[in-house]
Amino acid sequence: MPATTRIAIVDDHELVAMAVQNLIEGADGLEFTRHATSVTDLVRRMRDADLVLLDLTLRDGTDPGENVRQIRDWGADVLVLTSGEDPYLVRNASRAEVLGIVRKSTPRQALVDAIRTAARGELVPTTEWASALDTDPLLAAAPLTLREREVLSLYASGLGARGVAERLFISENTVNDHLRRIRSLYHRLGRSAATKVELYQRGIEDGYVQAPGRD
Amino acid sequence: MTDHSAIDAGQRSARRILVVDSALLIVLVVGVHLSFVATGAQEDFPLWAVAINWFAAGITLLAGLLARWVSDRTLRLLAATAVAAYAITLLTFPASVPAEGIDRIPWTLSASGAAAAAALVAGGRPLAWATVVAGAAAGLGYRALYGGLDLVGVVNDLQALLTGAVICVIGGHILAVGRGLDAEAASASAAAALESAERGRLAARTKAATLVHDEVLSTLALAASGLPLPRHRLAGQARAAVAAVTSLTDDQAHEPTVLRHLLADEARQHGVTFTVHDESTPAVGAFATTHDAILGATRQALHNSIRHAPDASRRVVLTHTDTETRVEITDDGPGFDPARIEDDRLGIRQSIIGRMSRLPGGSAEIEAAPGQGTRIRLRVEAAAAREMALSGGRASLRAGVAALTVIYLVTQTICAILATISVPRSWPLQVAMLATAVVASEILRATPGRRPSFGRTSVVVALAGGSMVAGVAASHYVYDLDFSYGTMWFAIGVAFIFVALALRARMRVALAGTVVLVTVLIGAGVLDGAPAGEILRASVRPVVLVGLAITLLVVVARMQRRILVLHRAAVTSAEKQSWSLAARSELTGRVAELARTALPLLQRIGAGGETTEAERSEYASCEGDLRDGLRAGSLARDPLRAVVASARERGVDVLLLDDHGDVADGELHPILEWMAMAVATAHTRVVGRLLPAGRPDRATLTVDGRHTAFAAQPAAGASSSPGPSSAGGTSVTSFHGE
Repeated sequence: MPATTRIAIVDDHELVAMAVQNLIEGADGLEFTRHATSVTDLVRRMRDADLVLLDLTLRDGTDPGENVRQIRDWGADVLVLTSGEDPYLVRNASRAEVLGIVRKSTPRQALVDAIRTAARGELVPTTEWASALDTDPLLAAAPLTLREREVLSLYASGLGARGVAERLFISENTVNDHLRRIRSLYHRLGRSAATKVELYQRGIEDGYVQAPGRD
Repeated sequence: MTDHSAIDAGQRSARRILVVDSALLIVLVVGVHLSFVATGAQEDFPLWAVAINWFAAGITLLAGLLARWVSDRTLRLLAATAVAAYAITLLTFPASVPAEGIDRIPWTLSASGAAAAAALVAGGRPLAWATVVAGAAAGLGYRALYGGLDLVGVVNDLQALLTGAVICVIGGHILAVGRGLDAEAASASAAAALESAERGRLAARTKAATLVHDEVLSTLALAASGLPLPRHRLAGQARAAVAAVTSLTDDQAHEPTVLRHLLADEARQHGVTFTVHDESTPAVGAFATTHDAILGATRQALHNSIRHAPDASRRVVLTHTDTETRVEITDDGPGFDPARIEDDRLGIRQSIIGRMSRLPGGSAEIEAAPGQGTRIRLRVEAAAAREMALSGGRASLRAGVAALTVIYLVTQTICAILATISVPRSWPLQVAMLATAVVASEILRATPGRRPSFGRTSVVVALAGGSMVAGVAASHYVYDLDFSYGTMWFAIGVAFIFVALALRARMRVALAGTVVLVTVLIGAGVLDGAPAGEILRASVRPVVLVGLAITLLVVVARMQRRILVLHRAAVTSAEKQSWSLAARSELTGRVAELARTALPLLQRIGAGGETTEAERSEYASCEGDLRDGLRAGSLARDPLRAVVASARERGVDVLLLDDHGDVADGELHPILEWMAMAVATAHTRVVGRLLPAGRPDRATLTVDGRHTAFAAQPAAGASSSPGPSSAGGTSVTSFHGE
């Protein structure tokens, strides 16, 4: 792994790329390499990035989960950027191997921190991500321990790892371990749930339209 | 062409079945006829007349054999040819009578059953009835002219009339059911097509709206971020967002919307409370015209109310029940006397009552009295037309059965009279036979519901079977009558009782009864030493009558089951369609809101001026508010909404998540107040979340790392005044996170 992490961004808007470039420039160990408007554009060339910031809803209508898989095959880590928090799309992307889902309107410093964490190859658990997982009917049937569910639920209510740790009288590291296990379990479910994903196709349509949380 | 054939499948299969029936009847007629020829009991008719006869039989047989493979058109043509051949036989009969005269006319002349079935296929019920009547009339008429006007001959013609009538009624019913099946299949496929089109539109629209939303949110987030971005580039993106929103709202100007959204909008514009009561899924099929009328009438009612009772409080309530859609517009103003004001208030007369009564199933009523406010009620009955269409087939069957009953009573009476005339001493037998037939049919006629009870069925079977056995025994032992088709006239009468039982869903009993009937008949013939041909002739007709009726009724039952399945499919499709429409309508509302709130800000960014700190907070607040529209569900309401907006303007990052989706209003309000109180003092970050059902807590709130939970209420007895401290069972716990 090189000393600096090379970062590319896939987003419809060049301006978003410029903003991200702006953020990264001031941060040590991060280097901005490229902006592409589609995943196909990005992976056409030789791999020139270690981390890709991927927009959840691209104008070309590609499926977030499929986009993530393509970038992973290309050899880079993925951190997803979203505008809103449509839980169906968030889940769809989370089932693929992403390091996290971050909202574009996250305050500046938090955004830089998230990118830095992802650049180290670590999980970036956000409240939106945890909440989308916490309410996923797919995960409701998964073999999670009671403690893991507790951690996820608290995390989804906006407490950070430290907050959850204090609340449950456990160490922050344990909380992070739990989150990592939940994430990898979710990826496993995501791989085997191709047909269930189809079932959610309709739900994705609903996601925008209906009050979320209904399955 | 393929479409058309698919749509007419029900009627086509009904016609095929009838053609096959017609062919089977012809086989029986030919069989019985040959049994006569074999005994040499047939006159010599000219070759051309015999040829026409055989042609009629052959063409009917051919149609029956080819029914599965030929087109509907060919089938009807063959049937029409067979009917025409029968008609020619009837018309040319006098010319075919040999110069030396004949003893009696052939019995086949009046055997119109096969021709009646073919006539149903070729020209429907009118032609079939005409054929049956013509057969009976020709039989009786030619008998009078050429001989054979005796008991056997007349009984034969009358029973042929009865058989033909049964075919007309049940066969006609099959055609009607086939038509119903086709109509249902057509409406099912139309509903499915509408549903898939509606789903397609919803999907396309959702995608477009998602992209526009994304565009707007990105732009606002960038503008609020304060990052050093080239101003003209930001302005360019803002203008692109404006264009996207505008084109989306222009597109949706022509879209159909769901009544509740239209009414909600109308009520909002007049500053009136609007509520919806859903007692069932909104009535399907009630679209554009119905909505326009209801909306127009509601608007007029609100205008009237505002004009005449400016200070009153008003309400609009929309109610969907299984049977109707109802809108009530009420105010607590001074009211008026409707009887006095009707003439000068053109508004009410024309725009409300007139408009609603022009709708199918629509009506409007006005309840008002001086000093008691006004209530205007608009109603539209759901799917009244569909119900009528479904019961239409039944009604025509009832009429047919009534006609059949009359024909039955008349023919049996005539038979009894003729039998009495031919053997006067046997009058007590004939009267008793007629009486039991009348009583049994009256018992069935008076049966409530379709299927007679076990007791009633037993009585009818005992009467029919008993009279059959008693009649046969009395004929042989008491009156010593010769076994013949004529003296056994009552066998058909009994068989008809079994047909009536089959029509009333007692098929097995009918079948068993017929077996007994035929056994008794054959036994009587053998006992009396009657010739085999005579026995055959007497037993074929009851078998045909009951067998035919049962077969056709089984087919009808199958078709009706299919209709039911199709009907359910159509209803399901229509429900899905109206769901899609509702979803799309909601989406439309959300886009309109987007245009209302974000467009002015985007236009300002698009102008490319310097962004002040205050403007930046405003953009952040708007961006958050739009995000809430997506994710905050029922949390995006006052009093919380206003507090959150001001927190966002202070620079607080607020995230509201509704992971429940369906919290009752009564439960929600204390949660909203509880959250609002804490958010008002937030500095950096707030996460408010409604938890999924089944968790110990209802909601959680994390303000600047301080986590609190709103516990679920153990009992629903919280009738105390609202507010977090007084709400029963509510506990607020807090832990310090950071």
